[in-house]
Amino acid sequence: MNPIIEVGNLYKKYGKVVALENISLKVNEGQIVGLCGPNGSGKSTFLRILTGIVKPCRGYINILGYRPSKATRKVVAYVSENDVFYKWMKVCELIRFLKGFYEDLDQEKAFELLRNEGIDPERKVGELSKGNRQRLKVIIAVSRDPKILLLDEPFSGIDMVSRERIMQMLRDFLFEGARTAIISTHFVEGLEEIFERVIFFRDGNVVLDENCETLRTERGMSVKSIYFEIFGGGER
Amino acid sequence: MIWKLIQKDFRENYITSTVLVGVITVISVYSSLRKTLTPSEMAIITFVIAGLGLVLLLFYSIYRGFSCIRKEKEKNTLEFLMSLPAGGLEVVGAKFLAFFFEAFLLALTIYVVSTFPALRGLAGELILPHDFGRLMLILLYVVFAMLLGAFFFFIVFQLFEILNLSLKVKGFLWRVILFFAFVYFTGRFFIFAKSIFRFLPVKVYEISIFNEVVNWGADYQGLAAGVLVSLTYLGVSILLYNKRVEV
Repeated sequence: MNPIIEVGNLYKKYGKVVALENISLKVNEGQIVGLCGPNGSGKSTFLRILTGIVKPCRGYINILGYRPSKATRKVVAYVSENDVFYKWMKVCELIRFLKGFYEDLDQEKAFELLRNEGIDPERKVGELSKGNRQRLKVIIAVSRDPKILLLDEPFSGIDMVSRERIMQMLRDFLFEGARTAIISTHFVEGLEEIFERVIFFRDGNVVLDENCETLRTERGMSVKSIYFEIFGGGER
Repeated sequence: MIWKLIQKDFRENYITSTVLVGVITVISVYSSLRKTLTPSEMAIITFVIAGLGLVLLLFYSIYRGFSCIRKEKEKNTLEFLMSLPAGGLEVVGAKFLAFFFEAFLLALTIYVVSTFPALRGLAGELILPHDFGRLMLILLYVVFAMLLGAFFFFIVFQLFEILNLSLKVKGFLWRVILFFAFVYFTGRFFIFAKSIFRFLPVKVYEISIFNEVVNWGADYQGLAAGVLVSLTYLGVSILLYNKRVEV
């Protein structure tokens, strides 16, 4: 299968802190990859570099044959862990605003998902709860038809109900077609079933890059138990 | 695409502009309703109101230049903006165009509301139509010059903030040093640009108003230098945004 994402010797430093150290990997089309690792391990920096909002110090990135740019951002849906939307915008305005940038954004689907999730499109983004703002980000991403989905901690700081609903949206979206996705998360148990491959980051290095099926069959371990084995704490 | 960004930037800032316009209008209306004595006093009031409004516009342009990118960074929305399929040309260009429309509307409103005292004088036949026409012409020159100044300041200080983000300047002292170095460089660049346009005239016009002759200078060299510096800084801002700015 052709790699849709290819990175080589990716190196990034913030001041004196090394965020990524010579990362090289390929992601094939249709692969759903989980990025795991503790805080500050380099997962977010990696996704941000793929989006093009952070520039690497060295190394190369190839997304569908291009460097991260305007062209790649048209086909990549990136969900940040931060509250990045304009709080003064109404939800419906935000969707219409984004339609101006993404031709593949299905507004009807977005409004239907908003209805299903009980989010009033007439409310301002800043008036939504954290869980709803998180859901809104995922709704916008799944209302598009991107070639690559990059999700950075989609479950951070939200309650169990919101987490379950976001997970369901993601499952529906990812299994609807052969989607390529990279999902960075601490919450491995809920997403383990959809990951085809997991990459563990620690201190800017890849410490494990394995197929989930191989982990289960050959090592007889779940992603969660591997996580605790690598990062300490034992099985919980 | 760029239109969406212009709309967004315009909407984000219109409240401040509206407040500014409101303040100037109130001052103007209040001054017009006062019992004025002589035509030249009316003219002075007209100029004081226009001057006040335009000085506020200049300060506003500096504030907007400083804050527009930094505000996005502080509110995390720069990450959103940068993740959109839009480059520096669209993002930086839209910020300038949004300010362009805003400053134009502000200057136009300042021009209109500052004429209230003179209009009252005209209506009361205290000011002759001839003098009123001249007054409006001088006022138009002032507004136009200040408007160009506002565009210039906006672009210059926007670049300063983009430079700050690109160089990742940390600490207040370094920012202050960079600021003075930047202002000094801009001044030198402006003088250099002006020397390029030495062939352009610097003219002095004489306008007679209220039985007095007013000398009015038009510095075409300065105008051309300002345009050159602005365009260069706009280009550098776009380039830096694309190549160096990150969240």
